[in-house]
Amino acid sequence: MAAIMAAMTGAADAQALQGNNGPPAVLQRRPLPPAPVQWQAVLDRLARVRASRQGPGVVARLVKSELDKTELPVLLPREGVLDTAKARLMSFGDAYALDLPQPKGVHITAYGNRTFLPAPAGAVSRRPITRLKDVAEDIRITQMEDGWTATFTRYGMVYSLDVSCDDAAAPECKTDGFLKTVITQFDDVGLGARAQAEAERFRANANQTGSLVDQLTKSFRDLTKGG
Amino acid sequence: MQTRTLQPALIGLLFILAGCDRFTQTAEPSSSSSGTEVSSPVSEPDVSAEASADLSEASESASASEVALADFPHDDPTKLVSGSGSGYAEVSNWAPGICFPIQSVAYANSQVYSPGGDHYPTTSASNHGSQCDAKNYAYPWHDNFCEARSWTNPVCASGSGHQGQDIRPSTCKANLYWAIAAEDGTVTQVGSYTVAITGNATPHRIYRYLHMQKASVQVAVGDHVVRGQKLGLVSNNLGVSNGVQQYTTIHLHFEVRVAQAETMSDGKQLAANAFVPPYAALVDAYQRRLSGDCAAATP
Repeated sequence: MAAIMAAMTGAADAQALQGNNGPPAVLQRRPLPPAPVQWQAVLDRLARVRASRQGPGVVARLVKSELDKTELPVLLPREGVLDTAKARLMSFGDAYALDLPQPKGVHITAYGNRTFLPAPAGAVSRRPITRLKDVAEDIRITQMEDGWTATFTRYGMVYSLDVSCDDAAAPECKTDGFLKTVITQFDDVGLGARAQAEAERFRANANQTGSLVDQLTKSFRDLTKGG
Repeated sequence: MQTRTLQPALIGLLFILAGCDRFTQTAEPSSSSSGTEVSSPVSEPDVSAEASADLSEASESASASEVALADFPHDDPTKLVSGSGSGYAEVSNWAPGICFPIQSVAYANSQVYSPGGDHYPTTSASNHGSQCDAKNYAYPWHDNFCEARSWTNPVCASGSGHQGQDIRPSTCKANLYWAIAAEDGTVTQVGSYTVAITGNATPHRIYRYLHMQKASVQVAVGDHVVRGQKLGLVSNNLGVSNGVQQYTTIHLHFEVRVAQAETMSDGKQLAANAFVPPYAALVDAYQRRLSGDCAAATP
C-alpha cells in the first residue's frame, strides 16, 4: 500500500485523472524542497524568552525522543494561562503536532511544517489577515466546523493553531477570542537535538562569516593606511 | 457526470453496488428517531461482516475484470448541486494515493441540499424530506467542497464555503460503517466526535474526520495508524451542547489540510496551512477501492 502512495506522490505534476471526454484535468502537486529555518530569529527569540521566563518552560514536559528528532523550532505556550500538563509532542522530523488538551472538552492542537505544496495564485494572499498585539506575524484565522484555526509563518516555517470544542456552544469556540489568546501565548520556542545542532551550525557559520568580514575589513584598512 | 463507457464487468459491479436491496433499508436511524445517541459499541462481528461483504464485492469484480481502475457515476470535481454555492475552480488531487476513508460503499453528496437537508427544495417550508431518502444513497456522487457556508475558504469563488467533503456510508444506519485511515500517520487530535491524523510522509497532510460515534473510536492521540486502519464508526454525532446531545445527518465529514506556499510576483513565497478540496482525491481513491485497494487492510 505504501508503494502505491509513493508511486502516486511521485507522479508527474499534472496528469489527467479522467478520460478525454470532458472532465477537467486534475493536477498533482509535488512538495517544494524543505524551507530553510531562519535560525537567527529563532536564537534571538530563545534568548528573549529564556531571560523572561521562570523555570525551564513547557519544553521540559515534552518527550525528549520526540523533541530531539524534530528539525524545526517547536512553538510552545508560556506557562500560566493554558493547561500544559498533558502536552504531547508527535514528531515527523520535518513536521510536528502538539496536542494540548484543555478542561471541558476544549482541544488545542498546534502543527508545524517545513514542507509546502505549491499553491495556486490567491490561495494564501486572498485570505484575510489579522494583526495581534505583541505578535509580529500576519495571522490568518478561519472558523472550522468545530472551532477555529489560525495559521502563520514564523522562522520560515508554517504553523497552525487549532481550537476545537466538543461542545460547539463552549465560549472557547463561539468566537475567535480564545484562539487569539492562544496565539499570543505561543511565544516560547523549544529546540530538540537535531534543531539545536542545526542552530549551532548556523551560529558557527555566522561567526566564521563575521570573522572573515572582520579580517577583510582589517586588511582593507591596512592597505588604505599604507596608501 | 462521467459518461465514459464502462466494461461489462464493471457494469455488473455497479449493479451490485447500487442494488435495490441497499435502498430498501431506509428506516430512520434508531439514534435519530429515539432522540438519544446509541452509546454502546456496535458489536464487532456484525460490523465486520457488513464491511467485508461490501469490500469483497468490489474485490471480486475488480479481479475478474482485471482493470487498473474501476469507474462509477460521479459528477466532475468543482460541480456543486445547483443553487448550493458558488463553487470553486482549482482542480488538484491534493491527496493522491489515499485510502478511501469509509470501509463500505459510500455516497459523496450534500447534507444540506439533499433530501432531509435544511435547504432541500420542497413544496413545504418545514418538511425537507428524509435523510434516508433513496436519492441520498445512490450515485452519482456530488462535490460539496465550497458549498455555501459562512466559513472563510479562499478556494471558493465567494471566499467562503464548506471546507471538506460529506460522505454517506452504504446505508442510512448510524454506527455501522467504519471510518478508516486515509494514509499511514499519527493520530494528532481526538475529540468527542472528531479524529485528526497527520500523514507520516511529506507534505504531512492533516486529515480530519467528523461525526464518528464517540464510543466506537478505536484510536487515541499519539497512536500510529496504518492506511486503512479502523478509526471509528460513521455516525450522526455532533457533540453535546449545554448537556444535550446534538445530531447531524449520518455522514462522515472528511477534510484535508496542507501547508501551501504561493509564489508572489516578487518571487517571495507566502505560506500557510489551508483546507484543500478532497473530492478529486476521493474519486481516485474510490476508483481504486472498487479495484481492491484498501480492501484487505484494517487490523
